[in-house]
Amino acid sequence: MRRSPTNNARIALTVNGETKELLFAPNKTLLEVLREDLGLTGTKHGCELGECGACAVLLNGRPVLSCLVLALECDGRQVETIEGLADDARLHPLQEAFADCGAAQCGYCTPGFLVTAKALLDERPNATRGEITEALSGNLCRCTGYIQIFEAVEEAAAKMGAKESK
Amino acid sequence: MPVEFVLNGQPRKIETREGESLLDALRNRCGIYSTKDGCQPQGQCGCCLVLMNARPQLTCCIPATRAQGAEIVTLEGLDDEERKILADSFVAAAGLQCGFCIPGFAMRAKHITDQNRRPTRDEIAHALDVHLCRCTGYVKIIDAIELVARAKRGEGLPEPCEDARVGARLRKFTGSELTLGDQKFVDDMTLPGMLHGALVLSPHARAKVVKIDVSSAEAHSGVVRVATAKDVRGNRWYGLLHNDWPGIVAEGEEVRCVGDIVAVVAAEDRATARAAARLVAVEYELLTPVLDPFDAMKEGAPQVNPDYPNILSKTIVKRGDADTALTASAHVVSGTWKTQRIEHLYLEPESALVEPIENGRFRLFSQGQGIFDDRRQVASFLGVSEDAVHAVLVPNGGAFGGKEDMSVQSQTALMCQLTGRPVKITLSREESIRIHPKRHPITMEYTVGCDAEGRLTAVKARMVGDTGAYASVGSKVLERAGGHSCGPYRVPDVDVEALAVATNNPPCGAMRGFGAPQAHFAMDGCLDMLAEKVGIDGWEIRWRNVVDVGDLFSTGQVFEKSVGIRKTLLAVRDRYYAERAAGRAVGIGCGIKNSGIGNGAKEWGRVRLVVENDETVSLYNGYTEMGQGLLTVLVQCAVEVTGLPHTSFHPKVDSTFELGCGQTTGSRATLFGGRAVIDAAEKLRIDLVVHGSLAALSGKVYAGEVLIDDTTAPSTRTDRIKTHTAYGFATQLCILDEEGRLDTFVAAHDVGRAINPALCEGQVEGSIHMGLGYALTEDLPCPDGMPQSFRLRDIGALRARHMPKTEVILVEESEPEGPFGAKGVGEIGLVPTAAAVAGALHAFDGIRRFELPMRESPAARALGIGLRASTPAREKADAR
Amino acid sequence: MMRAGRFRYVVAKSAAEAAQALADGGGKAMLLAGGTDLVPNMKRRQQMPEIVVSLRQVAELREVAMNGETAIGAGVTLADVVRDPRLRQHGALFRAVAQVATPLIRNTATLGGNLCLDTRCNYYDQNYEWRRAIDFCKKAPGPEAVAIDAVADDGDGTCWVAPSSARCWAVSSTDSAPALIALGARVTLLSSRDGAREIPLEALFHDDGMHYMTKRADEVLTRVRVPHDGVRSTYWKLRRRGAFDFPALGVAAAVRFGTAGVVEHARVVLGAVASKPLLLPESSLLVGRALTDDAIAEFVDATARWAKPLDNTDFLMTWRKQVSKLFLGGVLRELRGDDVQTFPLLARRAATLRNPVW
Repeated sequence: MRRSPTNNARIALTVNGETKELLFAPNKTLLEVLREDLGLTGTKHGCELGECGACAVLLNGRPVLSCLVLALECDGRQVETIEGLADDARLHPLQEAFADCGAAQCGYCTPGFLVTAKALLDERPNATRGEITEALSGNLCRCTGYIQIFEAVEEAAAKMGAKESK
Repeated sequence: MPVEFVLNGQPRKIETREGESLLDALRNRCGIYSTKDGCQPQGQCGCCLVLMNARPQLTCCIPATRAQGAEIVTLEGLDDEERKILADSFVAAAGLQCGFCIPGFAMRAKHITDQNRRPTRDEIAHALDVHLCRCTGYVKIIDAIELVARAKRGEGLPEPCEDARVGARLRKFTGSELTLGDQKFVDDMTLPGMLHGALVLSPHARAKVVKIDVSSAEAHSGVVRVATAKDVRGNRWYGLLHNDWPGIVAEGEEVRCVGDIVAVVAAEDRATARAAARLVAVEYELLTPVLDPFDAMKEGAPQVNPDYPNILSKTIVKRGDADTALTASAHVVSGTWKTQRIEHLYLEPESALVEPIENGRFRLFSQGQGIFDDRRQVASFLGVSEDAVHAVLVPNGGAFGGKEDMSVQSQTALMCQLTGRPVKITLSREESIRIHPKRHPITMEYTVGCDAEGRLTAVKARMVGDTGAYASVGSKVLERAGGHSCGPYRVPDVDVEALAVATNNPPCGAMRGFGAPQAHFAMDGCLDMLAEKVGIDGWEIRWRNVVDVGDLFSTGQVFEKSVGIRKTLLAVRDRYYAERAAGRAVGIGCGIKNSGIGNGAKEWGRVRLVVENDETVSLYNGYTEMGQGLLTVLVQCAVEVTGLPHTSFHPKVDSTFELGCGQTTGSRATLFGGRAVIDAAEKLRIDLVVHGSLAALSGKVYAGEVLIDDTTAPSTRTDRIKTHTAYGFATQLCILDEEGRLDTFVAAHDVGRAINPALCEGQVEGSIHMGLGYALTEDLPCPDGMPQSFRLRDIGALRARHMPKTEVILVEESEPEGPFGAKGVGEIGLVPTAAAVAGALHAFDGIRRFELPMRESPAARALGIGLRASTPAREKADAR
Repeated sequence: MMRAGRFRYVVAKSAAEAAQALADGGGKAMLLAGGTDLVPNMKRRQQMPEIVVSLRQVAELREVAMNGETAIGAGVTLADVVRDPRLRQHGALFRAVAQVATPLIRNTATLGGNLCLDTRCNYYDQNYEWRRAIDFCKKAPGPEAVAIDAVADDGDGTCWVAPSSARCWAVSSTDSAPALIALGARVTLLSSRDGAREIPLEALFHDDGMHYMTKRADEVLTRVRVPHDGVRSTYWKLRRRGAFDFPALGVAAAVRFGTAGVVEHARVVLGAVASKPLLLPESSLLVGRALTDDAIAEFVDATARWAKPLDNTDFLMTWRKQVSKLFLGGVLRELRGDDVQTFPLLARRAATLRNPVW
């Protein structure tokens, strides 16, 4: 097997339900591979040091910081990014609620909030305000002051709950 | 160097000297006096603000040449409508006191409101960041700027209050002129042929003056006269209580602090005088200074002042048997509290102007706190009779006690005497800080006991105050600290000793609060510690201990009337518990402050009402207007009695009549001055009833005289002690936010009667500002006896954006010995403040703080001003 | 954009394989568990291992067993510690772990990684250019040296915290270690040379910012054992924000009360005020008496000397030292059952843990 000097790592990764074989430089983080090798730029570079939450993705269902995870470590694992949140053209209830409540201003931190909130609601559909605050405490937002974000998550939870009970 | 610019629409071409600041050029060459020199060349007070090319620009810290080609606008150049809006807004909001800093604020207000017609209070506070005000606490300044914005939005013009009855918020006398910079302070005055003086100060805290060589200075072009001690014809030493302070130190004598004067220069202009002063060569023999009061008390310590031992005074306050009572107490706490040296930092540096007048007499324009004391001391210095000096008060730009002692009056008069020409001396900020007395640093060892329910049993305290190089009123400050050692609390047994100890540090003397803030910081600290032991909260332990009528002051005086402390506690009770219930860190402090100096002193209120031939009444009195609003309050007293309109009265302070009352101090000017006004005004009122109009009374003089001689000197044996005429009371709450930063400050004050509630609130708000600086950021450390820094930011006075939300609650417990029930309110505003802040910080982080300023607390760190706390790492870095 | 340097990547299938890989690396290999400490350090060139040994496939490190004691694999994520109801009995551990960084980080970070967390310092935790501008520091003395455990040379670089000092003063910033030391935890270290050895957790640490662990570069921390000895325990953390921040001070305490409230056993540990967690020897003074106000005050006075925070982390060091007294007394008051609502605000906040999700 010929190895390019820079792209010498190969893994299989399932991204948003689709399994991909990837060849990339081994020192890349998951964030870098998502954005540079897969063109999934919905996940954002904020600080690259684990201090902002803009790069959050779901790894095997858990929200993690993709800037701190070496892509090599994701071999055989499932990644869900913001691009996988909507069901085709239909927005995820969280996305709708964020739009309705004005929970996004500049929008840069929003993908991180959305996937983190999704993981929360997947696990705790009736999350309280306190749990929402706690779960989102690793995501920084400089625009909103957070209140609308918490309200949006509550609204989405209510909508999702109503849908299920039907 | 020629500079051309457009000033207020007029092209100007002026010649400036090398390095001349734009401020000096505007003031000295263009006749613009609305721009004031508060700290040149630091650019840290904002008093010299102009608009340059439509942008705000401080003028003291840029060379005049920078204005080349620029368009400069000062308050003088604004159109009449805008000037009126600015003046009326500041006056209507009572957003000024001494007014020295206000033209700068007014100029800033114009700029803020031009940029933004709807600024928030927060935006305004941030925009005021280069400005310092030492009087107002900024609350009413921001109110004023909101009024300016409202007027410019077309939503209504500000309406200064014209109601002058007692209890009304009458607009401040000369408020408009002060706002617009049209009211002249001493340094704004010029006279034909006037010379400018400059001082040569000792750079050493203690040294022998071996030789003074003035030849180079005398030879300097433009110098008219250089004076040394040899030129003084009268008594070279002065002082408020001891004549121990040399106006000029002679060869062979010792300099005792870095503010000592060794020579004075008079020249054709200020820059020349200062340049020549630097040419005076003084040879010193250095002596080891005494810089710590505890060292000064040791055997064999050098005697600082030949007139008295290093322990200048010892005040003893003793009642009952404190030791026995402490032994029997359920709970006892003790600790050592330390407070720091504080600079008054009035925005107007000291200035005096003296001119020769007829018959070999002199006219002294002074900004001192007692012009009759100034007259006495200047006459003595010059070796002339007091008649030969006519003293005129020029209301000053803030004093707070720091302008009681002589600063430059005598030296200015001397140069006038020697040259026969008018002479003005104005200090730079650095000279001001070096010369005038400071607030005493006091070390206080307290032991306080209470019973199982938290009722105080005894107070034992030992206080040592560093009174610095000269006596000033240091003995009285420690006397007051001892007298206020128990705060407003009922204490059966008291054993207090307070020492004033001389050192070679800058002198310490009068400053707002006068020993009481120090004592309260310790006493309220003890109360909080006892509350914790008893298991009750800060409000409750105070409620169980505050004095009522019938209880004793620490000195043994029975409170017979007007004790409003319980009402002030009630006024904050719900707030205290609501904030705590909301999970906030709240601190509480109670305070008492004498009104009237008492202690056996004779005190006067002296007034003359002179009916002039234009149907106005000149209101002469002996106390100083220094921003507190005394003249406005006296007019209101006169209006209340006579029913005449306030515009009929013209307040005047000079030595036309013998109205000497001593210093404007001890929260007493309203108390005694107001009573004297009532006394005189009653006579005028009766004549008005009889004769019908002022016109018929032209030329008549009505005297108002109040003599207070019923107070008791300390240690006097008597069965009825009366230490002071009256007392003010207060309870204050400090509320912190969740990061431990200042959030809200609530002050409930028993003022007897608020003759002018707006001015009264202003006194409290300004005091809180000063008290918060005292608590958190202000300090003036003097390693080697020299202040470590003269930068205003290092000195640590709070800026507008540092102020918490401030709420003042006025409680009126009528004082029968005061005018219309009023008592003094000038000082008490900062008496409980540090303790309230310390209590809040303890509620925040559980740390008991025993030392001021509490600069390492979260509240202080959030302010980011004041000398930074020293750390080993930083010290090492500095050492590299 | 900051990208980690180049390295060789080895995936270990067992703890023994990992130990062998470390031994083979000869000091140039480092273990990668959650990566939340190592990856940013690699990006900033504070740590530049040539070989990265991944532990993600070592299942044995992710086991939690309860068998008269608690045994936690070093590879258990912090989020799993928080989620596991069986671990809540160890109050100090739960409270410490639940306050590490953020939920997003706890989902990847491991308990072993937090115990081995690199020491921190304002002069060290900066990017490469920043550090180059101050001519680097003792702990990471520039491009030639690789500042991993293997570097033994103390001679290079200046410690900017205490420039005349021969040692590095970087701060131990682990939350879990003080808690686990208070709980009497022991850790197992595995090497290919010596096999497994078990030591008390407090013996894992050195009071030196550079060489802050006694663990050799060829050893793998595999397991933490916590005894079930009936203690009540807690952990208080001082930090600026309610999430993200490393501790500016951490205090853990574990106390077992006998009849009439007499203390039978006590361990109090200070974190983030030195280069290692400090198990206070004065803890034994508490034994044999009730936790009265006086007993607590005496303890606080006797132990205050241990906290010597330096000017190399958040908050003013003198204030941190003062707060350490509040916390030392506070944890004991909480354990004896005082109403925390009566505590000063800062203590109230430290004693009140919001219910974490992960």
